[in-house]
Formats: sequence, C-alpha cells, structure tokens
Amino acid sequence: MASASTDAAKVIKVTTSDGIDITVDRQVAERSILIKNLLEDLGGESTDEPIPIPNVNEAVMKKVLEWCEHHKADPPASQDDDSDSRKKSTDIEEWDQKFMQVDQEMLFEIILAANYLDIKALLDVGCKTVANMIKGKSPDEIRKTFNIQNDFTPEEEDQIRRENEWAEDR
Amino acid sequence: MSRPRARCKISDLPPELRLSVAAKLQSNSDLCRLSLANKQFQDVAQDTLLKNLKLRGTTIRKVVKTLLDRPDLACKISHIDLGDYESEAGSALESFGASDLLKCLQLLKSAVVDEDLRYWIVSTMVSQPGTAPPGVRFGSYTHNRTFFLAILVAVASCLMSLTIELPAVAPEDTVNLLSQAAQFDKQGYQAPFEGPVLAVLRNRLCHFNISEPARWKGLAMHNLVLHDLDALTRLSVPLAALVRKNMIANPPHQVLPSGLKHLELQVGADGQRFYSFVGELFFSIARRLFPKLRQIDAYFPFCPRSLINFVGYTDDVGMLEMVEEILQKLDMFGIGFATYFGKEKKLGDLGSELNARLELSDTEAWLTAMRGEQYSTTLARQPDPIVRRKAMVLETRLSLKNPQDLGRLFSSPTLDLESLSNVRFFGGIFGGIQGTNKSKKDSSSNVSKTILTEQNADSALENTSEIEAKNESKEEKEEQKSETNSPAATEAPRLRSKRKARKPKKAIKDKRKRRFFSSAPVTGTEKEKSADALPLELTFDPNKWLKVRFFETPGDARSRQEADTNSEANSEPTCSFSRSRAEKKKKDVVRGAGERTEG
Repeated sequence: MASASTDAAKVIKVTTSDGIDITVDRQVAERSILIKNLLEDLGGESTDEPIPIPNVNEAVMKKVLEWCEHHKADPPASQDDDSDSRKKSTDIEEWDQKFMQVDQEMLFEIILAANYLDIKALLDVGCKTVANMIKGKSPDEIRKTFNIQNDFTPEEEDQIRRENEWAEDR
Repeated sequence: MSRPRARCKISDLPPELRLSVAAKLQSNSDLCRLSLANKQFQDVAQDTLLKNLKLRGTTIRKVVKTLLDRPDLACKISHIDLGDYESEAGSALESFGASDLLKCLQLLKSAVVDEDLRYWIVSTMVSQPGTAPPGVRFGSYTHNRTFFLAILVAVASCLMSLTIELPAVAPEDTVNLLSQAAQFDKQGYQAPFEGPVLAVLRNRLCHFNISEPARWKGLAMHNLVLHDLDALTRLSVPLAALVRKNMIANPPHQVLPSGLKHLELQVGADGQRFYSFVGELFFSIARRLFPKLRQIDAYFPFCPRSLINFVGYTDDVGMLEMVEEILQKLDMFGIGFATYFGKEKKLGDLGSELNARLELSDTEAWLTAMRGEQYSTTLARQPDPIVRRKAMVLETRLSLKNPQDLGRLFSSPTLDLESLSNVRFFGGIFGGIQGTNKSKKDSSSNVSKTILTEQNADSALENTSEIEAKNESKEEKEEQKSETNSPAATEAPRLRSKRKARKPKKAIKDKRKRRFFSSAPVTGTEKEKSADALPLELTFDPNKWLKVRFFETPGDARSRQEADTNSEANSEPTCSFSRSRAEKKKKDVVRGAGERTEG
C-alpha cells in the first residue's frame, strides 16, 4: 500500500494556455477525465513534467481547480444517459451556486473548460446556471441578458410561433 | 490555440453545449420563448422541444397537425413523453378536416414502408369518424387516442423512448369490491398498446417508461404484457402492473420481453408486491430466461425498515432469508440490484438492512422502529447482542419520554448532557426539584452543593403546593406525549390517574420513583438515598451516578453497598450540569405558576 502511494506522485503540474505552471494534487486534477486519462497513458513515470492544457488560461484553470478541490471526494459521475438529461434544472447545491456567481464571460469560459477537460459534473452545473438565467424570461429579456441581437423578420417570428403553438399550451 | 480572454459570449459556445443548456430547461414554454430570442437559439430550442417531446392533454393533436405541415421535423423526435394521456376527456377528431386527412395519408406513405402496416393505420383512420361507437378501446386507449398515437409513432422514425402514465382500467374491468379475488383472477393480461401502435413500436421502442399514476385511478391496474416489444432493452414499470391485487405475480418471462437489459421497478405503496415479484423474477433469471439482464433497480416510496416490515403481510416465514439469498445469487449471475428509498430516491443497501433485521430480535426491531431508525443503524451502534439486550431491557422498563435520546445517552462514549436531561425520568425529577430549589433559595446558601434531604424536599413541596401542582400537570402532559410514542405506556397514565384520586401526593411521588428504578430487591432507605443523590444535585458527580440503581445489574448490589461508604469521602464534581439550562427551567416553572394564580 505504501509503495502504491509513492509510485504515483501526489502532486502534478499543469501548464495553462498563457504559459503558467500550476501545481495541484493529483487526486484533485483527476476530476478531469482528460487529465486522468493522460496520466494513465503516461504510466505515472514522468509526472514531474507539466501537462500542457492549451485551451484554458490561468484564471479559468484556477477557478476550475477550485471546484475540483471542493468536489474531490464526490463519487464518480453516474452513467446518466441522454434521456435523463431533461430533468431537475434548478437543483444546484449551495456551494456550486456561490461558485457560479461570476460574470458571464467567466461562466462561459468555465463551461468551455469543463467541456474540454471533460468534467461532467462541472459542465452540468454550468449548463444549469445558464438555464436558470433563461428560465421564465421573455425572448426580449433573454436577448438583453445575453446581449444578443434579434435576427428574425416579423414573418419568421410568426412562422416559429405557429410551429411551436402546440407547446405553448401550459 | 489560446482563446482571447476578451468577450466570451454565449454564442461562443459550440452547438452541442448550447443543446445541453437547453436540455436543462424543463418547461415547454421556456423553450418556446428561447426559440424566439435569435436564430442560433431557435435551432437549439426547437430541437430540444422535439427531441424530448413532452405532451400533455390534447397537445398530441396539435403536434400531429404541425407535423403534417412540417414533415421534416418528425425525424427529430427521439423521445415522447405522453404524460397522463387519458386525463383529458373527449377527443377532437372533428377538428381534423378532410384536407388534414389527405395530408396525413401522404405523410404516412413516405414514413411507413411496410404496406400492410400502412393499410392498417389508414383503415383505423378512415373507419374512424362516426363509425366507432364511443368508448371502444384499443389496448388501454380509446379509439380516438389510438389514432393520433398511431400517426405520431409511425411518422417519428427515430423514436426510441416513450414515457406514459397508464389510464384507468376500463369500466368493464372495474373491481367489484365484494368479490375482488374472483374479479382479479378473471382479468387477463393486457398490452399497453394494441393494433397498429403496437406494430409500429415493436421493433423501434428501446426504452419504455411507464410511470406510476399521479392521480387515483381505481383499485386495479392493468396487468401488463410487454412481451411483444422485441427491441425493448430498458423498462421502467410500476410493480402494480406486474403483480395482481391478490399478490400473485404474473410470471415475468411471460409478460416481460426477453431482451431486457435494465429493469426498473416502481414498487408503489404496497411493499408486499415486491416480495411476491422478486421470487418469481429470480426463478425466471435462474432459468436463463432473461439472458441479457444486467441491472435491476427498485424504487420504494418508503424507508428500508418499512419494506422489511411488509414481510409481515406475506405468509412465508423465511421470506427475509430468501430475499437475502436472492440478492447474493443475483450478484453471482452478474446482475446488479440497486434499491432506492424514499421520495428523494436515496440509494440504500437492502442487503445490509435485511442482515441487520435478521440479527435483531423482534423486540429490538420494534424498539428500533419506535425510534424511527433503520435496523442497520441500531446494529452498527451496538454490534454486541448482550449490550443491546441490556439497553433494550432498560428502555422498555423505563418507557421513557424521549427514547431516541436514551439511545444517544447510552451509546455516547462521553456523557451527553442534553439527552440526559431530555430523558423523561431525569427531566421530570429535575423539573420538580428546581421548583423547590427556587423557593428554598433564600434559606439554603449553597444550592449547587447542598443535597436536599427527602424531608427538606417534602416540606418544600407542601409550602409550594401550587408549583407542585403545576409540575404535576406538566409531567402528566409529558407522559401523555410519550404515550403516543410508546404503546407500552398506554395503560400507565390511566392507572396513575386512578391512584391520584385515592392517594396523597407524596405517596404518588414515591410510588412513581419506585417505578422508575430497578425492581431488584434492596432496602427502601438505600434505594431512596441513591435515588435522591442524583437528581437533586445540580453538578454532575460520576460516583453518585454509578450508585443509582438502574445502571447496575442486581448482582452488584452488595459490592456497591460496600463501595458506598468508601467513596463517600472522595466524591468530587467533575462535570457540571449546564447551569443556564437549569436556571431557565426554574424561571419557566415560576412564570407558569404566576400565570396560574392570575388565571
């Protein structure tokens, strides 16, 4: 048992897109399936060499690792398939809610990073947060929230309304 | 390829991420509004709406109509949630005009390749308006509903998964309360769908989720046969649809498709069904009738303890042992068995609960239930059966106010003062004494260290009869409260009130005190002495504590007597009882008495 813990170094380094090395517990970093697989491929030998993460910058990486640190003891994600994905949107645990209180820019960066690093639970929380920002808002409010332009002609809008008529019921 | 830090917008998210955001939106109306935000969102929102088609009431008609105009949308549907498809009364085939029917025919022509099947659907359709007498059923559904369902499932070529809440059993099958058993035995199996719908779904439906009825739909449920759904790999079904009301389980290999990989059972309020079914299911599995089955999930609306207690309703004596064995055997067959309990669907280990129940005696199990605990909790706390039995004897004998606190008191390695004062016996005596302490406060200089003698306390009681009366009623109330918790105490208050009428207060008090303490033979003075030592003192003295009868076995009486004299000298208070708490109680008592006199 002792040999196992010495074999796999406890601390690893990652290099972010802006060339900064971050030292992190291996257990924490392995919340990312991407890093976990990488480490497994390396076979635990060259762990003192930093792992390049070219798609994530330092600020976002730190934020993501903060989340990983808090959730390092969580059980591994269950194999929920797509059919279950459309339920329970508001349920975000309190710590995660606070964690996600960042500006939109950061929020989307976190979502992208979670997607790239393959951290399903974090991606889930991110998507839920965005979904909660959409919930109960009118199309105009949604556009204002995300600062996007209305690119429909009145005819197109009518068309969509007709197509979605069945769903407007309740 | 580092992304510029500036301006990461929602439009920077790739389409698949936008889709997963939209998938988190539950309500159709949110998705509708989202689709009107801009073109990017329109695609995402409409795809989500159609991919997981959520239908309620009559919306199926509108969807079919939409699909007639936009046939290209039909292939996006992969899941249909029909909800309580039967809930809205009536159907509006009338709104389906001649032009719609024509469009419908064309759509079917392109969607359904099999000519016979197409003819079948069409014939249902054209024979439909007017000709079918009202109330004629196709499978579980009325004619009109079957018609819309047939078109929808026929054109949705990518449909894989379906969720539905079964309608009520048709009136002709309604239960005759007087001859239930006979009625239920007559009732045959029934497919959820028949005719063209079944023909379409046979080779297409992979996941089928039959939800439990959300509203009262009569005593009976459909006895489902799903054997015909050849492509089905994952099934979620209420157990009531597989086990009859008389608790005879339909042979699983006759009603479930053999290609099943994942079976979810919604056990419902009647846990007895679980026992009927699990045996039958295992029998089929052992005969290799479900070669692909890998996972069984069972959902119970109650806690593991309740599930185990349902075994009392079954006739089999060795049922628990049997279920335990089945769980082990399933593991050998490589089939996972997960149990989820309560409304939150918390994962629980049925195996360990069963094991714990089999370890505990019936009385222990009863007491565990009284405390609202799970069997495994009780067993984990006191794995030693002798210790458990001792604690149990105390618990029954004292029939205490807060039995859960007693458990905490005895299980805690250190002294848990809160539970100590919560337990009725201590709390009760403390309440009485603090009243007297208050009145004697001026005369006795050192309240915390003085041990009041029996005579002292009695004279105080006489002086402050009003406070005593208050305490009396308080205790009486508490006892009544405990009565609801423990049926064992049911007789006690009634007897006590009789006694109260006949005897003076002091006698009652003594009598009660005696009742609380061990019934082992000791001299009266000794008993009172040790009994008073504990509750009258406001600081906690472990040596005195040990002297109190009920913490010892009767055999220790003599040795204690000897030790008594020796330890008297070096008794030092080591742990002081929370003063603020005691003071607060005092205040309460006095205020209560004040109110009493005012009233």
